[in-house]
Amino acid sequence: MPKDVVLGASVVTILGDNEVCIENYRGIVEYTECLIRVQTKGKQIRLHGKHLQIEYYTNDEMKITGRICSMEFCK
Amino acid sequence: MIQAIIRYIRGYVKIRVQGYSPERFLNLCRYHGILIWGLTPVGNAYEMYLTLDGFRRLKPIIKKTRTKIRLVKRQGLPFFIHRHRKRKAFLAGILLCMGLLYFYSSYIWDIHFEGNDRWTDQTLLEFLDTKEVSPAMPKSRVDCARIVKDIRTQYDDIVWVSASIDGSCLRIQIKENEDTFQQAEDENPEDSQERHPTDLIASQDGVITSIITRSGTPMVHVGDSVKKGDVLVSGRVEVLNDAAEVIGYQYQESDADIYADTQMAYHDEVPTTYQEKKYDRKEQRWLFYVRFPNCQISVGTLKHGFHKWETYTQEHQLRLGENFYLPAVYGMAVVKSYGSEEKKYPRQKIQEMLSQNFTQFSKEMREKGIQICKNSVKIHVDENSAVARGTLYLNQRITETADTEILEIERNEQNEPIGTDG
Repeated sequence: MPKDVVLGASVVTILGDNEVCIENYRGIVEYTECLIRVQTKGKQIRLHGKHLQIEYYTNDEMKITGRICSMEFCK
Repeated sequence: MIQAIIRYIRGYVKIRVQGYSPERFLNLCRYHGILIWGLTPVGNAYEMYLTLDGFRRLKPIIKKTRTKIRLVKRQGLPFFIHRHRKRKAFLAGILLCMGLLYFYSSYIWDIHFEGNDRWTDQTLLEFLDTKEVSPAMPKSRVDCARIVKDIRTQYDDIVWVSASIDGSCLRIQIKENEDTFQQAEDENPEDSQERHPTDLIASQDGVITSIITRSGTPMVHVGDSVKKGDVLVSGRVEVLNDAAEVIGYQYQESDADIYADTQMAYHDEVPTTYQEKKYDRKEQRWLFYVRFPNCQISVGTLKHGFHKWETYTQEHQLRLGENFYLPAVYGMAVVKSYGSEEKKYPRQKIQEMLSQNFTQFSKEMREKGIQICKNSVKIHVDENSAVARGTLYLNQRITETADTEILEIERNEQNEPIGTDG
């Protein structure tokens, strides 16, 4: 069985430094031009960057574009 | 791209969400399956795009999150139609356009041929025209089976034809019989079956270097010097009796490969001066025109008083598709004024030109099967002339055909009486 289904772990796909796709998340906690915080099961994903924009936001997946500087997982 | 078109047809809106916790608004939209795209933060608010359907389902979410929504932009076909609902002529134009499109698409506007090498498009078009098949005919009158049959009947060397209607284009695929080309070439030798005896004679002076005789009697050997007109291979073969006397001749067409060393004088002269044209960009006249069978519309003029000038004309016939020519021609004409000045070629350029000419000449000789063994060509350039001259030492075929002289044998036959016993 795939781990993301069994454990509910989020799937993050980073394409270069200007595109990030996140799957398996709970919702957006904070969203500004330079920081996006996304709640996942148990942890939070923090994305730092410039001119961050959410291309689309659906129940399954969200796509963030802009200049990504860093990404971290925190409690 | 397709998604964008679908969104446009269904209509979408851009909204601005403001309030205590707009993030909650976003999460609730996601929870209720409302698609959001192009989400950007603007100050303390967010701007985003929603479908019309999604926008209509926002009310309970707004109430729950206590956010304020402002409609920023409406886009898409439903809004476009609503905005122009009072423009009757516009609507009539769209309907007319669609109607004309539908009407004109019921005609054939182009005939496309594929696979024809021997018969040109123009020939086939002219033939089809006689069968009342031409561009601008209604599709309903096109009988593909009939066209195929007509082409097959008319052209024997077309072995397969397929006609099909592709949109407004009549596509005709053809397969020609390639063997017919071969047959036509083979027919020629049969014509010359009435052969008459021929000799091979020398076309110029030289020293024989190689001789391979296929038919006839060779009269020369390798190393022999021959003059122009000498018989090299005779078409007359002697018939000898037991006493090695000639009792008759058999005549045939001589055939041989004979190569000889020959000489040839080479002379090439190029002018040392040339006329250089200087165009005056300001001294030009332009004329653009569209010509119909009965009238011509033009812009510009070609009237001028230039001393020396050149005229260029470009003309194109208007056509729809590939083969449907309209009776209208458009083009442009330009008259350019120029002044000429006599200039001298630099010495190096002249040498280059003469060398190039000689290289080209050598290439042409090689293509003709003539080998240049040695040459003593030298370039002489002086004030008024530039000449390359010398002698070429060649190795080439020197045969040409000539009729064989028919000889009569003087027969000294004795009419011996036939004795009968008894």
